[in-house]
Amino acid sequence: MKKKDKITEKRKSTLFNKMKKALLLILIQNKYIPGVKGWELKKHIGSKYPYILKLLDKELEDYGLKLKIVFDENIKDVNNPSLSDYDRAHIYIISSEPVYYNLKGQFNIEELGCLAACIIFLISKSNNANLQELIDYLSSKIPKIKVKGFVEKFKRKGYLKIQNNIVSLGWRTKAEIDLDSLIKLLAIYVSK
Amino acid sequence: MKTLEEIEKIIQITKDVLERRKNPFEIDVKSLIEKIKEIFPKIKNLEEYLKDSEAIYNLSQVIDMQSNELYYKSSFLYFNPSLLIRKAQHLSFIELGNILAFCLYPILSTNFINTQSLIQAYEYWNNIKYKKINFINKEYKIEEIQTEKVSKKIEDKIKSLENYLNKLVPIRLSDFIKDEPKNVAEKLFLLSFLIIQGKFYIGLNEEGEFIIQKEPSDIKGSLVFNVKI
Repeated sequence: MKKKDKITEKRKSTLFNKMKKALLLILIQNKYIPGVKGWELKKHIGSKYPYILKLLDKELEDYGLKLKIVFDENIKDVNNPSLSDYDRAHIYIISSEPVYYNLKGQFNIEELGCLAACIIFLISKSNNANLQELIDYLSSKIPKIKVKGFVEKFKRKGYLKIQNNIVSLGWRTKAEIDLDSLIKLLAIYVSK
Repeated sequence: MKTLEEIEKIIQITKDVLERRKNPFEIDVKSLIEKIKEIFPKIKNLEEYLKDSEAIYNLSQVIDMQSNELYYKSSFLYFNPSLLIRKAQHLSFIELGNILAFCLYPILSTNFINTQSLIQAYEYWNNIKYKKINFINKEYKIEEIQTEKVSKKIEDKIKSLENYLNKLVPIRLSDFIKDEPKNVAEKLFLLSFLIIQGKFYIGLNEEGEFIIQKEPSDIKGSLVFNVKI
């Protein structure tokens, strides 16, 4: 084997090992929130981790999965994120297609509908709404006591973030829900 | 006179919209039309007939305005936030849930126990010390806690709590137990005697919060508290 081939072979195996390491770091849940922060990957893989993530994303495609990188809200340029933006971002592995048939364990249809109403309400209020306003909006359809329970559940699961009675979208909503498609689907949906 | 006033109210609402002081989607056209329908048989003179026709004409203008705005915004693929809220409100939860399900891409994650964490947990278990509930140990004996043999010491405390609560009821349970963890346990312990004796009841208020009250509540259930000691 030539020296050049040996070097490429060694490089390939290093990249593969780093990909494996990144995959494990993203998959294994630490504390409450799954996924991993960019700086954690940097610590374990090195500063070229965005390139490793791209390679990993291509590998995951075959299994119906993809990498989801949720950047910080204060990012300057979404199309060209810098390394520091990647460091602050949260990286998850999500399914590449919606898995609507597997949701029954988590939520019943009433809760799912309530969650959709919450998200739409928050989007229309530019992701900042008063908790009481949200409860009033939801209680036009279901009892207030039930609404409070639902909102608490969504907060616990990470779909909503409540701070000082101000509600905004939680980390899980940003990671799991395609907000653009949700708005488009709602806009074109015709009730039977 | 009353019919004329009612018609004028409707005209004013529609005028606010037509002069762009109000959002055309904020007014409920259907209910206004129904109101006019109710008023129409009561109309007696020509002036009222003219006002009635003006109200109907204005309402038709509002509908035209609504359709124009919808047409304009949809041609630019613009989603009006208030329209989105309105649409979400009109859809059933099943429909909303189905829409959301098609936009939900669940996160994959896994949990497992490794050898290192198992060793750490084992060490923790070996070093753990049983924490005794201090207030029961120091102040009360087990025999005293039994309802039939309430000692004088507890009886006095219960009476003072009863007098204190008589002034405050109905009071929210969360406000009542707002105290240091040790006192919270004692307060709840003493309150349980008052509830057993039927002097106070625990119920729910309109906002779904637990309240201490003097009358029994229709809702029956149990309360569980987590008190850090």
